[in-house]
Amino acid sequence: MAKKVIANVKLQVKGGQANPSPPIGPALGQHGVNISEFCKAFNAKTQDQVGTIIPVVITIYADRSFTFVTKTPPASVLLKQAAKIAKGSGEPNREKVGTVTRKQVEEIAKVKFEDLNAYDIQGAIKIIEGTARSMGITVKES
Amino acid sequence: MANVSSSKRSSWMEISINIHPVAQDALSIFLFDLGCTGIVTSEGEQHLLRAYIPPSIALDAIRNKIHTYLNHLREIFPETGAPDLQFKVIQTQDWTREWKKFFRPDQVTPDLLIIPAWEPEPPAVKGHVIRIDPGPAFGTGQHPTTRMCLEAMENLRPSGAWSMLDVGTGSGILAIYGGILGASRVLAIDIDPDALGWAEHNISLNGLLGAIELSRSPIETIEEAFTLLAANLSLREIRRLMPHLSRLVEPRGWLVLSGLLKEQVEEIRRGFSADLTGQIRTYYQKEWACLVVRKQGKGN
Repeated sequence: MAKKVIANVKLQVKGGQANPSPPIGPALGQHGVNISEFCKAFNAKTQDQVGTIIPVVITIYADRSFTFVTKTPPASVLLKQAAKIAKGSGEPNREKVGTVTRKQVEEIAKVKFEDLNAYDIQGAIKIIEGTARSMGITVKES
Repeated sequence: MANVSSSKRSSWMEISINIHPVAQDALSIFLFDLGCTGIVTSEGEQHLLRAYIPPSIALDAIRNKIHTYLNHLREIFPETGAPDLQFKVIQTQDWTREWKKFFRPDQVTPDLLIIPAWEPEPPAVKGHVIRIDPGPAFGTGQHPTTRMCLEAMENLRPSGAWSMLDVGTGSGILAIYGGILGASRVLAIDIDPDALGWAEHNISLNGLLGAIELSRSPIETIEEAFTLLAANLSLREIRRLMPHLSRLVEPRGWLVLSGLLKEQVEEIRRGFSADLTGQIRTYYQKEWACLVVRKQGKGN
C-alpha cells in the first residue's frame, strides 16, 4: 500500500549548501522531518551545483520519511548566466543591467518548459521574456 | 505591513509576499540577490513566497529596495496588482524538536541498538547500545550512510590496541562506536563548533568522556596515523581529503568512506594512491555507498 503523504514542501535553496537554518529548518521541522538527513542527501545530489539556486519539492509521508525531487535552476538564474551578470536590476524599468539574445531566450524556454505554466513553446518564450524584463535584462533580436 | 524593529537583529527575518505567478521567478532571484538564504513557495491563485533573511543583513538596507522593486514589477506587469508584503521575526529555535517525536530505538546493525537520549533502555538488549541526542548535528544511525559505517566498523573490529580518527564527527556516533568497540585512542574532528558541542554531549551520555578526544584541528595539521579512519562526508569533502588519506592510516589500517552516492564510488576509487588499492569492499544501501579499503604494508 502506498504511504500516506502528509505534505509537499517546495523550496528554493542553494545547491550543496543546505543546512538546518531557515528556510529548511522551519519548513521541514514543522512536519517532523529529520532535517540533517535531508541536508546530507540534498547536498550530495547537488554537489556539482554548489551555490546555484535549485528548486526542490519534498514529499513527506506519515511516518516522517521523505523523498525529494530537484529541478533545473529557475529561468532567472539561467538568464543571469546567459547575460553574464552577477545580479539582476533592482529598478528594472529604469536601469538595464544586461542583454540576452532571442536565441538564448528560446533555449531557456525549452529547458524550463516543463516547469512553466505555458501551453506551447511560444507561451514559454513570452514568460521568459517577461522574467528578463523584470530583471533589467534586454532581449535583442540577434 | 507588520511593524518590525530596524535595530540590529539576532533573529532571522521572514518576508512573505503574495505575488502574481508571472512575477514570481524574477522576485525570487531579486530576494536571493539581497542575501536571502532560501525561499518557500506555496501555489494558489497568487503565489506566496516566504524568503528568509539572516541576522547579518540589516533590514533597513533592504526594506526600501524591496518596495522599489515591487513598484517596478507592478509597472512591468500591471496585472500583478499590489503585492501583500509582510515582515516577521523568526525566533531561532531547535527545528529538530518535532522530528525527535519520531525518533525511536533502532537496531541499526546486528550488534548495535541506537536509542534516543530521552528514552529508557529497553529490557533484554543484546549487543551494544548507543544513546543519541541528535540536535542539529548529523548522525542518528537512521541514515544509510551512518548505518553502513557502523556495520563496516563492526565487521572490521580490529584486534589488539587500535586507534581511530573520525573525520566530520557530527553527532559523534562513529567515534562513540569506536570507543565501545575497544579503540584505545579515538580522535574526532569537525570544523563546526556546534557539532562538536553535540558530540561532546553524546559522548557524555554514553559514558565515554575522557576516552574520545574532540578537536577542530584541520585535517592538514594532523600528523598521527590511525588504525581506522572513518569519514561520513560528501563527495566534495572526500575529494579534499584524498591527498591526506594514506598518511593518516597506519600500514594494514582501514579507511571507511561514506556519504557517497553509488555513482560517485568509481571516481574515489580511481583517486586512491597506490598503497590504497588493496582489499576493497563496498557496502550499498538505497542510493548510497560506503567504501572500505585496507592500506597495504606490514602490520597486524
